[in-house]
Amino acid sequence: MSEIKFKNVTKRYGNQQVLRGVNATWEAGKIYALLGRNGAGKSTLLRIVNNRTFATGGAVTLDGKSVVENEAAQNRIFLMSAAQLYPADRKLTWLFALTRQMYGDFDDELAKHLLAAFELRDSAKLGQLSTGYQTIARLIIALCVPCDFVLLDEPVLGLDAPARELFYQELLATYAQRPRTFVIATHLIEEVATLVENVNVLAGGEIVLAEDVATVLAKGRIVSGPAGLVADYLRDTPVMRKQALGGMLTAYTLDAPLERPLPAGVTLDAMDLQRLIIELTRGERHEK
Amino acid sequence: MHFDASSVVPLYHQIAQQFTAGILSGAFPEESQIPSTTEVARSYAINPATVLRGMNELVDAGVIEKRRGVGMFVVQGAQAKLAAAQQAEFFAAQVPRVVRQAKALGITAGQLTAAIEGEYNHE
Amino acid sequence: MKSKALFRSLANTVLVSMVVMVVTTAIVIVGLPLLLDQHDFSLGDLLIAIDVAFGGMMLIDVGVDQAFQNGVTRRTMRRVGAALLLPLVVLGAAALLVMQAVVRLIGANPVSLVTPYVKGVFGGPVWAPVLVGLAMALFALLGVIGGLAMRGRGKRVTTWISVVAFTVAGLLIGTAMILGDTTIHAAVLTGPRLAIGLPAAGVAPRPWLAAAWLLALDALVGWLAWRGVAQVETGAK
Repeated sequence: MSEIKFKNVTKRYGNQQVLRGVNATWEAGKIYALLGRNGAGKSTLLRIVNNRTFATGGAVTLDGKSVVENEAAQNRIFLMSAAQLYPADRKLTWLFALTRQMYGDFDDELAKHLLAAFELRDSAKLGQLSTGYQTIARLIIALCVPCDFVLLDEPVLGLDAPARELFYQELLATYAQRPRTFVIATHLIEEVATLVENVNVLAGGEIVLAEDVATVLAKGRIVSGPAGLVADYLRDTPVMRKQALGGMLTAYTLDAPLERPLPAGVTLDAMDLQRLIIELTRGERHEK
Repeated sequence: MHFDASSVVPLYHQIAQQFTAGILSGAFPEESQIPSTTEVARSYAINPATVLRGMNELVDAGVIEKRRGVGMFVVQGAQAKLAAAQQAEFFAAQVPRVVRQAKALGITAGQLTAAIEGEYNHE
Repeated sequence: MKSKALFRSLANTVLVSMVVMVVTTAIVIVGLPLLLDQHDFSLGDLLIAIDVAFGGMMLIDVGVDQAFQNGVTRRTMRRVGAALLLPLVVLGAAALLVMQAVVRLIGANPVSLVTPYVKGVFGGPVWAPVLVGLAMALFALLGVIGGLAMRGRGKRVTTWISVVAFTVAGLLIGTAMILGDTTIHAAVLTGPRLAIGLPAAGVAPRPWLAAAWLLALDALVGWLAWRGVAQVETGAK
C-alpha cells in the first residue's frame, strides 16, 4: 500500500532551525492529526510534501520515490491551506474545471452536494466571497480531488461552529465512500480527536509521538493523590511530568500501570489529547 | 447517543456500550437492523475505523451479526446474552471494588451485608 | 497533463489580456499624435516594451501560485512559461513593426530606436524583426524577473511599480513629442549609442553589434529567470 515516508527531514530558514529531523510514515487510507503548537513547523512540513518549499536535508518519499519535483507523485497529493493561491477573479466553476484538468478527475457530484450543504453558489467569484466562504470553497475542492493523500492545514480556521461540524461530517462521509489519507494539521485538538485514527505530534522540530489515538488514550492517565502512594503506584513507570502541592502529587504518564490495583485515595483521570499535547510540548520554545 | 472523547473509556468501547444499552432497552429490537458503521461515523463525526472496532466487539460477543449486502442486525437472544454478560461484569469488577473500599474504610463483612440487604428491602 | 492545463489556463487569461493591452497601446501610440496633428511618432516602442514586460510579470503573478496549488513542478512551470513567452514576444515585436509600417505609410516620421534598422515600409527583411524580437524577449524576461522579485511583496507594491513604469515611459514619450526628434537623439549620448550599434555622429548603424548585445543580455536575463523559477516557493503559509 502507498505511503509517504519522512526520513530525517530538516528545514532551516536563515538562522532558524524549524525542522530538526522529522521521521514519520503516513499510510494509505488513514486519517491523521498533525498536532503541534503554533510555529512548530506543521505548515512547513506539509509544504515540503507538496513541493512548495524545499527541505534543507533528509528525504520525503511516496512509494519510495522522492516527492521533490515529481509530478507523478504530486498528482496524488493535494494541500489545502490558508494560502489563497487561486486567481481571485474566477468563478468556482472555473476553478473546479481547472482542478479537473490538472488532476485528471474531479468529483462534480460531491461538489454539487457540498455547495448545497454549505449554501454556496458555484457562480460565485472566489475573490468576492468572505474569508470564511473562500475557505469553504477551497475545502470543497480538497474533498473532490481524486488524490490519495489530502493534506489540510488548519482547514477550519475562520469557520463558525456549525460549518466546522458540517465539514467534519462531510469529510467522514467522503472518507467512508472512498478511503484515502487525510492529514489534518491543527491546534484545535478537541474537535478532531474523534475524527482521526492516528496522531503525529510535532515538537522541537521532530515527531515526538506517532501513535493511533486508541493506544494513546488507552494508557495515558493523570494520576493524583498522596505523594507517597502515587510514587509507589507509578514506580518504574515513565512519567512526563510531576506536580507536587503540599503532600499531594499529580503525575502525567502515557503508560499507566493499569494492571496494578489502585490504592485508595489515588485517582486516575483520562489524559485527553488536549492535555497530552500540552504535556508533550511543554517547555518548547515558541518560535513565532 | 453521546460520546465523550475525554473519557477513560476508549471511544470504540463507548460505542459498544451505547449499542448494548440500546439493545437492552429494546431501542434496537432483536432481528432488527442497526445503523451502519458509516452512518454512525457520519452522525457523530467519529472515525469509521473506531466505529468498526466498537461494532466488532459486539460481533465477537455474538450480539450483532453482519449480513452480507444488507447491514448489521441484532442477533436473536442478544438481550439475554448481554444481560448475562453485564451481570458477570458486575460481579467481577464492581463487587470487588465495593468490598475493597469498605475494607479500607474499616467496614466489616457483616456490616456491608446488612447494608446491602437493607437496600434490597428498601425497594 | 498538467503542462497542458497550465498552458491553457494562462493562455486564456494572461495572453488574452496582453493582446488587448498591446493592441490598445499600439492604437493609442499611433492614433494620439495623429489626433494632435504631430508628425513625429516618438518612442512608442518603449511603451510596447513595457507592456511586454508587464506580460512577463503577469505570467509569474498569475501562474506560479495556481501551479503550486495544482501540483505542477517547477520544471513544468519553466517549460510552460517559455511556451507562453514566445507568443508574447511575437505579439510585441509584430506590434512594433506594424506601427512602424503604418506611420511610414501615412507619410510621417517614426522616431524610435528601431527606425535606423528599418528600410522601406516593412524594414530590412532580416534585421528589424530580429532586433525587435530580441529586444522584446529581453523585456519579457525582465518582466519575469520582476515578477519573481515581487513575489511575497504584495499586490500593492507590484501595482505601484507598474504605475510608475508606465508614468515614466509616458512622460518620456510626451517630452519627446513636444520637444521633437533632435532632443531625443541628443539625450542619448553618442558614446553608448556607438557602443551598441546605434547610429550616431554620422556613423552607420551596425545591427550585428546591437544583436550581439541583445543576445548576450537575453542569455543573462534568461538564465536568471530560469534559475529564479527553479527556486521559487510559496509564502510561509
